[in-house]
Amino acid sequence: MERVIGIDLGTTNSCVAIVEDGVPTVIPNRGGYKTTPSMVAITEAGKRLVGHIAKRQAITNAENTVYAAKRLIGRKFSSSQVKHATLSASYRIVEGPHGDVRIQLRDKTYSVPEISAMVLQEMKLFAEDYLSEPVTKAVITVPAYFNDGQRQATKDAGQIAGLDVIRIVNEPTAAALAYGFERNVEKTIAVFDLGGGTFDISILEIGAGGVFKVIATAGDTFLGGEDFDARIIDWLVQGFRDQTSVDLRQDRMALQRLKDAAEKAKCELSGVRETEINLPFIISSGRNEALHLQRTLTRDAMESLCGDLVERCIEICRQTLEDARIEREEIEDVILVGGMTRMPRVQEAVRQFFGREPCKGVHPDEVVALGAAVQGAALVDESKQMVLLDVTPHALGIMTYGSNFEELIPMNTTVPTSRSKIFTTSRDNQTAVKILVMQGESAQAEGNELLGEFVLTGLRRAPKGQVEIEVTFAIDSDGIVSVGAKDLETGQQQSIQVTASSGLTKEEVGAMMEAAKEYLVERRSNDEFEGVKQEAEKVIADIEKMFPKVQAIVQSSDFGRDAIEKARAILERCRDAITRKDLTALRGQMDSLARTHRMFKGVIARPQG
Amino acid sequence: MVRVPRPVPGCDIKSLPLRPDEAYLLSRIDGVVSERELSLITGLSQAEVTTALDRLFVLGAVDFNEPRAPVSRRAHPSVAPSSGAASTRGTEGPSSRSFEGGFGAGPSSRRFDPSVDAPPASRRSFEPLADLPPPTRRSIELSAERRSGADPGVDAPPVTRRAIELTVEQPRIVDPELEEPVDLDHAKKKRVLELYDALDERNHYELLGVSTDADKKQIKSAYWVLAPEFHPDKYFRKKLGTYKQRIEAIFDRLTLAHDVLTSKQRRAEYDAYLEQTRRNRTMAALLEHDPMDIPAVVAAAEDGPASGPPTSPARLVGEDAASPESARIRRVPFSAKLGSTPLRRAVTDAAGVSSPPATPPPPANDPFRRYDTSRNEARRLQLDRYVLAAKVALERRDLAAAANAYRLAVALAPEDEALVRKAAEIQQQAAAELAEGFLRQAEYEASQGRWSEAAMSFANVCKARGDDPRPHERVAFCTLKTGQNNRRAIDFARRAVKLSPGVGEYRLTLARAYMAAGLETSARVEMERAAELSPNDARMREAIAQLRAQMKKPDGADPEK
Repeated sequence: MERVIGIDLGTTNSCVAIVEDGVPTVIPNRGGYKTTPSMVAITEAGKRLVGHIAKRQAITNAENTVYAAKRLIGRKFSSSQVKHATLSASYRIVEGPHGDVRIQLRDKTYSVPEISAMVLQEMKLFAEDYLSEPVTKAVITVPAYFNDGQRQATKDAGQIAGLDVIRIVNEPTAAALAYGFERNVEKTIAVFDLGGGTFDISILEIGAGGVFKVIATAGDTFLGGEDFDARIIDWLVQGFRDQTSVDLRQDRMALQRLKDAAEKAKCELSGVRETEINLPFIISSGRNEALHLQRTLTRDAMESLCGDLVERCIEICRQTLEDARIEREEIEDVILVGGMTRMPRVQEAVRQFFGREPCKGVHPDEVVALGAAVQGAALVDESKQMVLLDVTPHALGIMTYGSNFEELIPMNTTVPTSRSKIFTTSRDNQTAVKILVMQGESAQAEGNELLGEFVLTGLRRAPKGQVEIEVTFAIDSDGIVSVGAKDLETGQQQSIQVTASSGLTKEEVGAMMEAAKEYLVERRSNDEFEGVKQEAEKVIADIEKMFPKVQAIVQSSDFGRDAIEKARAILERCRDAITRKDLTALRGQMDSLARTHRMFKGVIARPQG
Repeated sequence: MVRVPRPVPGCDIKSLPLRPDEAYLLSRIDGVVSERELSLITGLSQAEVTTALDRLFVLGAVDFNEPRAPVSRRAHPSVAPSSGAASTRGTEGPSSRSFEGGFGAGPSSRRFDPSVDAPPASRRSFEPLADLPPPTRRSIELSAERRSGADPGVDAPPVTRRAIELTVEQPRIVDPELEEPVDLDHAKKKRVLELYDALDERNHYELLGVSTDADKKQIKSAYWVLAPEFHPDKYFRKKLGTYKQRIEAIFDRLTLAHDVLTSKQRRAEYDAYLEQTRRNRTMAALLEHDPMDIPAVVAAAEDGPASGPPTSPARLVGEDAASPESARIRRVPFSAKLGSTPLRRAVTDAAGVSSPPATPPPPANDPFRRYDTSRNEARRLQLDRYVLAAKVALERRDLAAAANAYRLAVALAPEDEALVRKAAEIQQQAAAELAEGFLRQAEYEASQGRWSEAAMSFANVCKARGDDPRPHERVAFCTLKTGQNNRRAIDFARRAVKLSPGVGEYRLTLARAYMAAGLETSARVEMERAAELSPNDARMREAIAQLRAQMKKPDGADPEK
């Protein structure tokens, strides 16, 4: 049975996990860290950097380093969120051919799923290194409040990265799976997930026999750690302007440094009561005079800067409980997920709201990936006693006249589910009807996301109002929406699957997949070359060290001189292959190199005389 | 309890998704052969017959007799149907029937129409009772969730015999659905099919397999066991074919049952609804059926395991009442033959109602003389018993029983004016209470979006409140919601408008009904009037604007509002 990895594709950090011998385990990256920054950069030389290495060079290469791509995934270029991001991002956001979002790095534009795919590909490689076997199947998590377009774009990213995304799972749900996995608890829990970019709250019921039933889920896809950082940046910029009349926002490099400093200060303030923000030579004034930024931020000050953000989270919790008609007392445990929940103010707010101490047993950065791995294992392994009964986070319906939204499946409906409604024709001899499928909670159609539209054709010709069509909306457990229509009189049926648009066409995804594959091949051979090169260089160095000694010993015989010559030639060929980056040639020399090495060692070890 | 299925007239069998074995079974159903006998003559197992019948019932292809104790039909006297007697009930023509009549809540709570003249049942050649009168048919209005192509209760032509016979010759083959090549074992397939087919008949408790007084924990436990079994993730990336939809439907219903029963409020509403439907059913049965058949009717309505009707003496002398109607048809000439007044019937019947028969009825060959001598005394005694029973029932606030007892009493003493008045008064009160009950039932159904059931229940309210515009408007509204039978919506909305011409909302509903039926000019007129009547109501304005928009845009689908 093929193994399934679970990937938490986060706004700021990503994490990959797998169930190993029944135990969910986080797979560390090459640097030994359990999480990897969700950052991608293209260097001046055109080299792609992902993860920690991309983060480290972010300041010097700010314009070509992408962070928080998750905030853009599946969104339209014209949306207010993207406009907002365009203002603050250090990289260039441009409009794509379908009104989607593209990111300009150096001389190339990338779609957002492509950028995310680079991160996913990296995670996939870590898993393959760790397991020493190819990995193709994955469960990827998304914020519970993502709409279908964002989910589809995430799936596309997985596909581009060469992964078969067997399921998209909501992050808070995944956290609950990891929490309840094989613990055999029967509890109603709340998952409070404040990550880098999004906030989610989910209420779940864990039942006997490993049943996880989501009761309600809600959130805000534009409320997260980044917003806290932005508040601190605002404060720094404001203070600096007051002092020096220089606007740091005009300088992208300065902005990037501010961002790093703000994030660092925020993290530090979770542990200490005050911290120093010190950014020397942040900018030069008009008279070519270097200016430094130096300020002290206290925890209290930061809390007052961000107090309303925390309030917003709590307000969403309140609303969710109310909608689900659950009393706070019914919540038996609260799980904190996401790095932002380390902030004492957040913990305090949660404690106050739920009236109980949040659970300390889960790791806020790793629990989501672990849960994704658990879900993956449960899907492919029948022996796993676990089933997740998830809900649809958004209402599903159609647009009716006057641009109204008519709900067919309400939010928080357990999936799979289906609902039907009768439609009639409104024109004589009408042979087709157009149905606009939408997702969202707004009563006005334009306030919601258009999932797709389709035209039902082949209706019986009849006077208006006489053809009755029963339209059925169904969501299966994969979250796939299908719409079926049936002419009630003739029994004729048609059905269609509504796939949200991720902003990319199938062909584009296919082409990106190919490009990613090529990159991977290149990257693989590069990695391999690096490995062989290192090994070869070590041996070469060793041989060279022994060379004078061996030469002295064997010089007397013809055979010895011949051997020395041969060894010299082998070393030369190896060095040449290394310079030419010729992996095949280098490989071909490795055996001879090893033989030479053994021979040299043997000569030296032989008793002299 | 023996069910006797009969074909529903007007049902378009060709349009139903039948399996060959079901069609075969259907071809054997003639309204006479019982469920058990069907098993014998078809060679299908009892369970298979039951499952198939349930499905045919759900699909609207068959209906059932009231359950009754098995009676040897061979002892029946042959009685020709008397059209005169039959016409005492269903006198409405076919068109008015669909709007005014035909809403008597039968024991099955589905709409039935006792006046439909069905074609004679197709008879099997070996049927020994060839000259039995054709049993009365019922038509069913299927629920909105599961409808066949035509609405059999209203305008559909009576079923052609061909439609039935077309399927007769098909040999019984192995169930093709069980043969479907999917990644499920046989037992699992069977379980899915059985549960799926029974979904519509089971209430939430039955579905989860818990008792009606189960606590939240028991309900949850049942759900925790069943939900994973029917969650598609348990069959991840398996080939499920048509089973996928079934499994999903079962899961959906299980979740609904769980969600309703674990919410205090929703469960209370649902319980009240179940209780209300049960009471309405019983009460409607008591009030609308001939007193003669009350034991059978009550028993059928209560639908309990121990509710087999007491074998009434009338039955022993050969009244195999296939339905109240046929019972009456046969009874009239029978009592005429005996040369007695309705008295005797009432006596024997009363035993069925109030207590088990204390005294065996006189044998049929008893001399009339003896009977006549005790006549007045018996009558007096019986009358007292009924009046007392009525009073006791009134004290219990059981209006239906009281009305019934008074009706029996009046039958004994039609000359007692005070009694007649009292009976009429109680009857009226009972009808009002029943209407109230149907109103509650209707409101719950409407709140759950079960529009066709709600329309039916509101129509039942209309029966008792013929001059109350509100329920009429509701019938129209709910009917529009189902998207079916726009004529009916128009008729009910018209009635509401006629009763209260000054209410804009009723006119708006009428306008919508016209609109749905494609009568745009009439719709426009009503809409303008509605707008005039409620110029300041924002909600109305919005609705009118929406309707206007609908008129302007002839393209696209018309979501029924």
